[in-house]
Amino acid sequence: MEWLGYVIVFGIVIVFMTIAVYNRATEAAEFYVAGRRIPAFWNGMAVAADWMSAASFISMAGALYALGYDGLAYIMGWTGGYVLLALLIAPYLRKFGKFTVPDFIAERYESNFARLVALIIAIIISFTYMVGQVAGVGIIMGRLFGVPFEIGIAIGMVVIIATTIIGGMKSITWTQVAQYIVLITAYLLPVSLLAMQWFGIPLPQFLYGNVLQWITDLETQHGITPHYIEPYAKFTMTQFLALMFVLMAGTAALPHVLMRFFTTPSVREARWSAGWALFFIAILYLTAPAYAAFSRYVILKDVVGKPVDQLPAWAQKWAEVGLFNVIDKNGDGIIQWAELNIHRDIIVLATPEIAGLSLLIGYFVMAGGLAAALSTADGLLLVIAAAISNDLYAKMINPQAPEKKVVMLGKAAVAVAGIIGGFVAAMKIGFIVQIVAWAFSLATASFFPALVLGIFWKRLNRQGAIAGMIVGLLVTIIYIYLNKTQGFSIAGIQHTASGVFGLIANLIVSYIVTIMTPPPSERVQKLVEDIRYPKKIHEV
Amino acid sequence: MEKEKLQAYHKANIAIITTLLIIWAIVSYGGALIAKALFASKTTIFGFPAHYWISAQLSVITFVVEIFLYAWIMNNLDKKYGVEE
Repeated sequence: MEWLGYVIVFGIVIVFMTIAVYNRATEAAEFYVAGRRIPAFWNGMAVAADWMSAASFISMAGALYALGYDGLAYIMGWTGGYVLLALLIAPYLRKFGKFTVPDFIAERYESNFARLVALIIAIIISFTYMVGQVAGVGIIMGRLFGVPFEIGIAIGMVVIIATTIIGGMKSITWTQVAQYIVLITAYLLPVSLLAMQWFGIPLPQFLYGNVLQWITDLETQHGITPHYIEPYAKFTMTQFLALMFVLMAGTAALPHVLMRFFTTPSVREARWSAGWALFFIAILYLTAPAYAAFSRYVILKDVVGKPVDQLPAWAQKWAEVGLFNVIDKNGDGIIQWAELNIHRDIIVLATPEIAGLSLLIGYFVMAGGLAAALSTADGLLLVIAAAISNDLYAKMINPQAPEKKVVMLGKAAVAVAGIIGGFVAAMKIGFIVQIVAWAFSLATASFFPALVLGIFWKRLNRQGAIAGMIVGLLVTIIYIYLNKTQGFSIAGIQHTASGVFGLIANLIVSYIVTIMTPPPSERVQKLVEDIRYPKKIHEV
Repeated sequence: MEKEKLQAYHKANIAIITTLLIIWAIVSYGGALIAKALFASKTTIFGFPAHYWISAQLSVITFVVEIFLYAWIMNNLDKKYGVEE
């Protein structure tokens, strides 16, 4: 049956590549923003694929399984961020109408130094995030075909670089649309079939309420506390609220998501597009808690309280590869809840086997995870390429550079950043995984206020914004350091939510520095007024 | 274009954003603040524990509806004030 896995995955990869080849691009507007011709619906789908990473696809249900109610901070954080994006940022950036987030920062604050700060933050966030995706590809390839991690990364890297190099945003957009369709089908299929078996209706999103009840009953029976659905058993309430806020503000300000909103034909379409994006994302985020509840129930029912040597067949298979561990600590031959150690990735990957579905569906789920990783890596790679070719080279180093040369440099940057990303992923540096978790805090403390205040507060000037971003980042980094190494915390807030302090510092510094220095130029004030209206109001 | 009309449009936009963000905050942060009490009271909605349902479903669905609503309201407002592209 293994050949089937090869056929599915390579078939899908060939489809992605064919779409990319059909959408080649050589002009800057096509390379960076797909010629601004992407209709709202399709851009929404592409945003969803861009946004939902290997982690969303494979690990999120597992995190919910482990964290119970407290894990919902991720669900609300990563969806609620789109409300901020749609109401406070995306339509105005679209009206501004350039290529990148650093473009906006530089023009709004009339400073190439601000551009430099913005592009460095964009590269750090996007690069570390991309390394996580590439590692995801390596892991999936390994599970599917048993190829070594490094070979899996090399294959994935070739696909990611090729799709991005061929047509930039233009080719990425349509491959992301195809990747969304694959990933969402692969995500919904196993859990819907499982719901069909249990309830006769393939709608797990509406049915897992009953399962939560069964979980509570079984937990009571086995004497397991705290209950799965009990709030604030894993996080304190302040950590829950702070984390949720950081995930929201960070989501709204992540450069690879915002860049996709430059591709719509109008402000009007940009607004609709945000709605479609969250609609397509919500399908997966409403399903993830169902995955978590179903597996939690199966494990409580079929594993806990059973003899150690009578693991169900699906659990045995994952035990062999070390992802499902039972250690009979008290030596009574019976599995206790506390004796189980389950890797979070298997919650999604094991569901086809739990439901007794054919191997084919298992492979298809893996292909979905692959699509999720590839589509996110494409978008991130483009942000890095745009930061280097558009912002650093064309706008700062050589403003007279011909467009063709800039796009060529962008393509070269894609290849170089991609190859470096592959090598870094292959080295399995734990620190990189950590930085991904901090990306949201860093964006909350820097880009989020620089964008939202830049749009809504005309008086904010260059001095205030730059000082705010730098202090915001410093406070965030210092808090992360103190919390990680010294165990220091304020109100029980952990390093993963450190961005709230960075944001507060940013706002205070931005305000004080701004009112002590002169207002921005006439031109910038007109720019800020102009982006409020879809129609052209001022020549700027 | 008259300055007052433009200012009225901007004011209306800010009012709409504020209203929608208040709703956004109530379902997410409000829901989280009362989660403990709702859990203790064992309230259920549609077969779900109420606190879990509010955070896992009501909030996410509200977010989606809010964004579409904002697009719809603003696209009409653009026409009303004559500021559409």
